[in-house]
Amino acid sequence: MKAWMPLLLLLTALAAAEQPRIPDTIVQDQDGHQLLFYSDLVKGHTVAINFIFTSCTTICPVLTANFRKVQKDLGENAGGVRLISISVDPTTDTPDRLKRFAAQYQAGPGWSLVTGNKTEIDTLLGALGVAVQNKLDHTPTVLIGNDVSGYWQRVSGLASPAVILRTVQDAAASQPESPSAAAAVKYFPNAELLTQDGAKVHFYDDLLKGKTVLINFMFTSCAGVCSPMTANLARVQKHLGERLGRDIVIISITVDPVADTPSVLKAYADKFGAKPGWYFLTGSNANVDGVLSKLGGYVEDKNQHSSVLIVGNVARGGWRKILAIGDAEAIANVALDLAR
Amino acid sequence: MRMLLVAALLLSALTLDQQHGREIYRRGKFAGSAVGTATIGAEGVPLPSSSFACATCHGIWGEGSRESGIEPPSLVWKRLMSPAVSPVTSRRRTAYTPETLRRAITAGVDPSGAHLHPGMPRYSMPDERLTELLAYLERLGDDDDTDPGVTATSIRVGAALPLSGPLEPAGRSIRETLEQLFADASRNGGIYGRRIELVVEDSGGTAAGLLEATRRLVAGDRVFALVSSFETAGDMDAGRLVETAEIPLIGPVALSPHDKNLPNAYVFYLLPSLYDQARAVVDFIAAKEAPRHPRLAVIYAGTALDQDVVDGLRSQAARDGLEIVSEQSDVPSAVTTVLARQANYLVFAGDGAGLARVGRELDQAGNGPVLVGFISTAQSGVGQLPPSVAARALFAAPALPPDTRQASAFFSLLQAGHSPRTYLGLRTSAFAAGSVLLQALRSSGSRPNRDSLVGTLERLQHFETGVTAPLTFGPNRRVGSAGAVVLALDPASHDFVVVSGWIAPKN
Repeated sequence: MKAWMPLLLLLTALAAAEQPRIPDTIVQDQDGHQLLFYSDLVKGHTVAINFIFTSCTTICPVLTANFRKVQKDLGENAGGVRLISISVDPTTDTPDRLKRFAAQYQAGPGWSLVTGNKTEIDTLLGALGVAVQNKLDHTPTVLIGNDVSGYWQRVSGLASPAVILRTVQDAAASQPESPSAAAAVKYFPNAELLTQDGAKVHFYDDLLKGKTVLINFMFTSCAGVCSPMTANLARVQKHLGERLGRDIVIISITVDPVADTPSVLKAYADKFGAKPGWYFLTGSNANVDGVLSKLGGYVEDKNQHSSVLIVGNVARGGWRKILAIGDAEAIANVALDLAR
Repeated sequence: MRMLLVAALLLSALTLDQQHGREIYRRGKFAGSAVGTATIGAEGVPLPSSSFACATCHGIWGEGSRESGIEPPSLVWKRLMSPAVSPVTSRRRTAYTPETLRRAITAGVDPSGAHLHPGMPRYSMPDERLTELLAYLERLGDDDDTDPGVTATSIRVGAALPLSGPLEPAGRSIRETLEQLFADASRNGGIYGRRIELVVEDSGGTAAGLLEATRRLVAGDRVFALVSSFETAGDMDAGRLVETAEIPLIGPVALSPHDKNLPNAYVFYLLPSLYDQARAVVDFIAAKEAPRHPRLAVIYAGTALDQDVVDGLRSQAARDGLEIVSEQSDVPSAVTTVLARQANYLVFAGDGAGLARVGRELDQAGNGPVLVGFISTAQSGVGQLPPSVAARALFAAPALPPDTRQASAFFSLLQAGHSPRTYLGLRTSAFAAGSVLLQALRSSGSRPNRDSLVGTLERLQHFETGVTAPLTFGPNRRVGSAGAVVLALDPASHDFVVVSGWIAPKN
């Protein structure tokens, strides 16, 4: 039971992963409304953000004209996409100045031009990666993103409006990967392990990332539950069909990395008819223990290892724990459901 | 010398077509409205040409510019009419002809058929206007391409002043001061060799007269800038006129100028509003009486100026934690009501006659509150205050009374011109406005133009005129000083004595 505590933590971490990466800076729009930058403008939306100042002569008229074209092509209300222009000269750019500027370029609904306290705007620009020392040197960047899917791209503000538009459309169409993709990256260990074929793999990058996974813990010299558990996973693998190795993978991690070398695991895998997409993992003690700890599979005595199977969609963040010796078809369905 | 003469014969002032072309070049406008559209990229949205005036990128004299890695090229005619290397493609282009230049402006291609930089808009405007623009491009930046009112030897500035009617002496003292100041500057080398000429039109001292006089100065572009025009309270029309004409007006004489949300970009006031003066007075009283919390009262007449005082009092009393125990409009029972509320200070917002009357009523009542008045609106009543009230009264002034040490430049000018020491307030205002103009002209370079004059004024910080508080303007700031100085009356001489330094109200 104690061994499951880390997994519970993991589930909590994934659920609470909607931490804004973009700060909730207090800004004022061209109508003088006070807004929270993340909560009121970005959260839950596809956004395109550019950086301007109203007394700018050369570059801002072009950037703004390009935004105007994107707005037109997006259709009424900019198709629900939020266009945001942040002033890099907030001391001068009052809401009234922004309003006049917006009128010059016929900015329509769905296009917010924002200013605010200089220190806070500078912090916001820093967080967006466009901090400027001298406003005349500000980079003509357009930051395009989808807060739901976590898709973010930078495009040159001088790129043709068609390129900006295409990126905005890509962002809008990007799958809601997970509110937690970023958290998953941070949470799962990425230690180097070895497969039954002796291949070096990084646990997160090479096996987990973007996949639906079934993970159990075993060791080859186990006299108890390991064999029935592995035999049951062999049946699950049949129900997964060709999805195995494509978007779903089975991962069996040894709790006895000293004895279970790749070749030992290979023999064990072959015995159960493991197909490509089913990985038996070992590696250095430190690396294996690290991964096990994080997943809640670490035990002092290998015979105490858990017979629970962790099933989850790494990209989207749905997680289940089920007994690894349960009904094979039911287990496969849980995985297929999560993978959908 | 001979060379100069030849040059002067060859060049001449801009023709009317070329002047139209200059408005298109600088503003993207013709007769004040967008001349057509500008489109970025082949598929772009046509936007008003006024949002993409040539000069914003290529420079007011066609010198080109550089910003964020974009380098709009120089548009000097000789360069256009010679082969050059394209900054975009690094390919050589052939020389432009008037025809290919038209095509560049309207279709975005150079004479060799290569696309211009994507930041260069394609313009659409009537043929006639395009012809005018080309006519101007031919003259762009040459020695005679000067702003209106500017010649090789002079800069002409205008003022709309009352030269007739009851305010004639006021107008005369302003004109006299400006003439002395400009003559002095011209004698000392002028502005990059140019002397300053003053043209004055009579406003008669009325709102309608001011508008007409300003119109006469603006019409036909006779003057480069305006200075010290005498405004009547609450009138905005003359200000709107100079804003439309885009002619800077420096230091108009006004009683309570405000920085609106989006102030008139072309009008630069020097002295503070009554709103800020009232706030400074509250700070003065709060500091003087601390740790006590004196009770304030206000009696106000009905004008917008009086309302400014009331608004300033309310705002700063709340900030300083003082109570306004009574707010009375100026009716016969007002003083009685204020006395019943046991106020320590009675602020009067109204004219001189009103101040004198309230003073008499306070005198009859005996030991009442300290009376506080404003020099800007009620100076004429100060001399009529009963001695018992006058002895304790305080007055807010928009500038320190000129003392001979700080304002030595002003007084030596006065002396040199054998001018009487009358209308000192107006003379100092005019002196300050003229000084600001001269300073801004000196700082904006040897080719005076109105845009750079406005830009230079916007950057003016803590400028000392000797007769006003230090003046500071900014992109959104068009009133150079905020605050007041507090005066009292010397019981023996009945002269003003200064009882505070310059007070900038706390925010």
